[in-house]
Amino acid sequence: MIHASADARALGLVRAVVFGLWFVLLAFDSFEQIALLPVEAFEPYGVLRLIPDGAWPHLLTEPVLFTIRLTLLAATLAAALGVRGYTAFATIAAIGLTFHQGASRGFAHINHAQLPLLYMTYVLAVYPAADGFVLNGKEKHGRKEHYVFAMRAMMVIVLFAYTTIGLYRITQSSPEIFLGESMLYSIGKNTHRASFYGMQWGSLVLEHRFLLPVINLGYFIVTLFEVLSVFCLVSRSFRWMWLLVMVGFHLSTLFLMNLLFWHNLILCVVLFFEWEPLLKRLSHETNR
Amino acid sequence: MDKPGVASHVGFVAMRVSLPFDESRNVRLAFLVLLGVTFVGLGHYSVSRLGAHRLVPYVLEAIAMLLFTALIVRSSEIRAGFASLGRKTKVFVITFGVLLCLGQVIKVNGATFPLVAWTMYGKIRVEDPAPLFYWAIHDDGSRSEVVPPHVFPTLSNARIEHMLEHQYQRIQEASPSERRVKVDVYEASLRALLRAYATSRPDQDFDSLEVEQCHVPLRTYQGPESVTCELAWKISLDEEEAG
Repeated sequence: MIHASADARALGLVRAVVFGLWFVLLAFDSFEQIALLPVEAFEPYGVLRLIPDGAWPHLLTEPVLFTIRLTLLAATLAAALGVRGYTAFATIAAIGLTFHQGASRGFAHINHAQLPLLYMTYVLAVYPAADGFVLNGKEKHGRKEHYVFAMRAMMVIVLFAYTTIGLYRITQSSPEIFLGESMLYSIGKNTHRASFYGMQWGSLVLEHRFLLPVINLGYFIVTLFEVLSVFCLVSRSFRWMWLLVMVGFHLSTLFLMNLLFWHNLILCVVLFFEWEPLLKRLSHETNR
Repeated sequence: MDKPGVASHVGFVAMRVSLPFDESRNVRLAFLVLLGVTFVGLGHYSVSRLGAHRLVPYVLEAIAMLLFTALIVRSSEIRAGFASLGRKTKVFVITFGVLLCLGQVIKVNGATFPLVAWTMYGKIRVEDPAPLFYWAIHDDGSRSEVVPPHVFPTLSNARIEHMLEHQYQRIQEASPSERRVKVDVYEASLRALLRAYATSRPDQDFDSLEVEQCHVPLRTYQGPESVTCELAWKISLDEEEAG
């Protein structure tokens, strides 16, 4: 099974990437902008309902949201570097990021971008993820099983998301969804929408309808790979095939549907490789 | 070594699921899972044709999910790793795992966030898309397109577009008594969009924001020119100032 030889450094590398990704996202994302939207349009979801309704008009103001962003920037940077007091920084980041993700979704709808990243943050906050790959170079070595389990837990979380997407599609809407025009609808809607990336390649599929069976076949293949995601844990060859299919799929959604979940791609690359040999070699060369 | 038959493999999956570690067995097991999933899909198709209860697909999905969870939980390596954890970490793992599965089964994302259901692109669509476009109208009558995710990048990946579409949809579906409130929320959101757009263009003066609803004819599509649009909504900045 993958990550059988995971150690403190491998888990530390994932920690640095996950919190580093958050830091970059927060640095370039003017989260406090949502204060410009009318508070009447806001609806708290899930755990955010624990916050009293009367508090939201005070929380959804530019100074408060900016302060939260600054705090999160500091906490994610400290956690990414693995400084002393890591658990406290990671816990602050996990709680704050739940608020950050929930507050922006409260104005819109619950989409899934960044949620796997959030789940991985929870796992990293609980495990000894700052034992290796740390700024000061002082590494600790705890029980190996803990590093192995944490790496596998994060991988299961990412794979779970893909598996459930595929299962839902097959149990709820197959086989019609792979034979009809549902994909054409999604391509048409997202191509003809004032979107962030402004890709117009979807028009080609709409214009040349003979491409529809090809798109539907691709959709079916992606769904099968999603359903079988769990096998990435145990089969190296399947893992490579899976990665190839999913990278292709995520890039195709950018060109055909103006949607890109680049964090998921980075997460997959980080989790699907066993980094220990490379990290060991690097460490030997540095020590020489 | 005896070669196991298909029946023993099916039994292996259904009764004594555990992850095998050699590649050839993985491939065979993967094919069996695929076969099972195909049956689930065809089963769903048959029951939907027979007018079965609407909960049947959800039950099928829950069973399939249980099978996959069992595949992971029954793995000896995963179990050994779990056994090595401290008590608090074990509680975290179990709670997180259960909530993750519940979020998927319950499918009420508003209640279970951040552990939500993963159902994207799983609904059958037969209608034509009717997207909305936003235009800032200048004082001289000319117009420029407002791309909401460019104005609110924090709500990109279709979040702000969904918000505005959802608010517009709610007005269409509202009863006469609810309509005023929904209109107020929608117009306040549109004004916020125009104001934020105008902030980044201090040298330009804007008079109003127009919303166009377009129709994308999927069956007769002949390029972007076959898309037809009509004015769906208009807000003026003056009205707010006057009000």
